[in-house]
Amino acid sequence: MDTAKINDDIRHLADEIYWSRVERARRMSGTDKVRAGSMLFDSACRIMRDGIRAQYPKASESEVEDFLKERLKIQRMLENQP
Amino acid sequence: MTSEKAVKLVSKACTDLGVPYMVVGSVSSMFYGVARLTVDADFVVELGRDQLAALATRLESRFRLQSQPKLESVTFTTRYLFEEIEGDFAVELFALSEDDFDQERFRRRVEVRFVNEKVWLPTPEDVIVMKLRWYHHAQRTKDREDVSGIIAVRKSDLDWDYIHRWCEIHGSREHLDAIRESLKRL
Repeated sequence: MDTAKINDDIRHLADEIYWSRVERARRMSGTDKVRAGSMLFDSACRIMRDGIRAQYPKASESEVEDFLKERLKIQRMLENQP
Repeated sequence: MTSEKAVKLVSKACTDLGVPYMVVGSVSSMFYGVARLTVDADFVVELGRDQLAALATRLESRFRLQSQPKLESVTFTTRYLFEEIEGDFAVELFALSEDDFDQERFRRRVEVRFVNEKVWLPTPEDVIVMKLRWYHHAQRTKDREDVSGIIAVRKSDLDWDYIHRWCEIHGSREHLDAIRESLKRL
């Protein structure tokens, strides 16, 4: 396996993916993006809850919600990191 | 469409068609770390003969397969893009390569409960290693953020020896150490 080739491929692929995503974002209106943002956040929370349940199989639903709040707090701290 | 809906659709199609797969990218990062708004779902798939066509047929009511892979390579990067027909969501399928790490993370994948379905994901360690590999070569901020999110959430609940070993091989150890150092300030 040629590592240099793989590394080069990763760079090219990252560019391809980035521009295809930019192109799709350009096709959405501002309203669509705001609406999508809310829907995607709800979806992200459901995915995180399943991750929490997998990490803490014995957690009650109330504890899952507490862990979710903690994760969202961590996220805010990460976003505000200098 | 949302990530969870796309994951359920594609994973069910893969299961029904006997295509081994795992969900990678932002969905796996969210599962193990923190939320990210995304309009993509990424999969690594081990496609057999004719299975891409079968998968495309199976998904054709919701997704259109781009006629050719965007970038083709014998090593790492065969990527098939499925675009949502009535929306802006996209599903990207990456063919399992012969790369040592790609093989290893696929072998170690785990089946988890995901929005009332069972789906295959890489381990959190493998998500971190892969994201750092991409960050090392492509400098995508979101990869660094995803790694920070997983480490901040999982903390000691990670196999650090495994992560260190692969980061040394990939040359990404310095990025890992910098991220862990930055998390000390949280």
